[in-house]
Amino acid sequence: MVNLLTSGISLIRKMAPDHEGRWSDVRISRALHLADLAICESTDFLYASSEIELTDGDMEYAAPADAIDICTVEYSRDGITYDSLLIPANLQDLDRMSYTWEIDTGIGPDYYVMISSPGTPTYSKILLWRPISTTSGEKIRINYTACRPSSSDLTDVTVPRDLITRVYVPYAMFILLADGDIRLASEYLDEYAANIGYVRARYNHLGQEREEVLNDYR
Amino acid sequence: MTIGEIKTLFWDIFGGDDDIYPDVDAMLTESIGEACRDLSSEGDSIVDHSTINCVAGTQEYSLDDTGADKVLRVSYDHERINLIGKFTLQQARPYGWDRHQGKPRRYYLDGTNNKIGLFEIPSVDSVDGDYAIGIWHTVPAGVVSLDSATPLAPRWAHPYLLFYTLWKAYSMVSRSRDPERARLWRGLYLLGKERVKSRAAVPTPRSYFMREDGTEALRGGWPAMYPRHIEEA
Repeated sequence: MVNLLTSGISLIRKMAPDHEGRWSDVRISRALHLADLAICESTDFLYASSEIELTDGDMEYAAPADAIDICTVEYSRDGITYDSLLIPANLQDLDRMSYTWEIDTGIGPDYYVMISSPGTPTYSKILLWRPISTTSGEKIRINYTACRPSSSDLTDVTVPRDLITRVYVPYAMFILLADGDIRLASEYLDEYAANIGYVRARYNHLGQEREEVLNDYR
Repeated sequence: MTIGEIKTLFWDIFGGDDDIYPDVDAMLTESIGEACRDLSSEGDSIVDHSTINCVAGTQEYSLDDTGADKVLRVSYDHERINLIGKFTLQQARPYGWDRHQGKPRRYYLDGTNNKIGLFEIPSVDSVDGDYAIGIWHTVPAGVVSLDSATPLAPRWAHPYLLFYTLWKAYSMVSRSRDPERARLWRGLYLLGKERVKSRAAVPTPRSYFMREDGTEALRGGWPAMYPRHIEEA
């Protein structure tokens, strides 16, 4: 059962009736946004993807602004069907494979390098090697775990109700109470920390079968 | 989040406002900038590349215009060149380390003067990006000032900038001082910094194979289990 994340506002008000006049909806929303950022980063439960059309000779492309971790990068020759995965590498790997990788071109990239931490404004990029000198609709699809950088992103967000009560409300309560009794606020932080492992386990889609699954396809 | 939004959250938690605590308000923006620089410097989380045009016969070049903090990789004419210590170079080539011209194969760094030097000294001028120095380097997060600006840190790590400002505010030697709260926010900030560092270090496979033409290629594979679920220490 899912609820709008903003339903957490009424839950929080019920938790702290004495603070009814102190906390505006806007302030509680800000606290819920902080909770959402922390939960998205701690659990990697928000999946997203972004398509980028390649341009002539370009090696670097801006990474998604809301990315936490780049998981896979797919490549499509026709811009429609994604039929290969690019191999993650770093600059040292490229140096080892080609002395002239900075100016190499080819029929399509085989590797990608993450430049800067994902989500860093301006500097977060994906470097593809080898770039295509004359493109004809090729694309890459970046699959990543995401966050919601702006509080306005939460307007229509829905999450399972038990996540709201297990992690969102405790974290938000910690933020809201932190200007008062710090020990009371810390109790809510402890509750959040105790429950975050449950959320990770719930959204861990990898499981022990990863190697077995890969072996089946090798 | 913007600088202004972080400040709003700060006053939500700290209580009061800039009229009640003008001393805290004065350090707020700078504190956010300090946090950005702290996160970026230890995690090497901001990387960029720059080009320096060479002049025939000139050995050393200033790094000032590149904004480089830590040099990660250097190339000359699009080919990687290797680092050598300046004094090691002098000992290895006592006669002519600062005179021989040719195609540079090594570079040294003069950190105190923020310069990069080449050996051998370039014998040709740079032309349209060729015969130039290419530098991959980390970038320190710059000074922030506008409330509308977005801090130069991963967007998911912006709460850690808030924690840093709270830590510093409660640590001030003023009426806002509160050691217990300072410890709490410091602990949360340091945990967050470790997460930034962990996510900046992307694990990659290290298995290579030889192609028919004799070149090496990185073998495909994803030893990292994605999503990576960075665990708390």
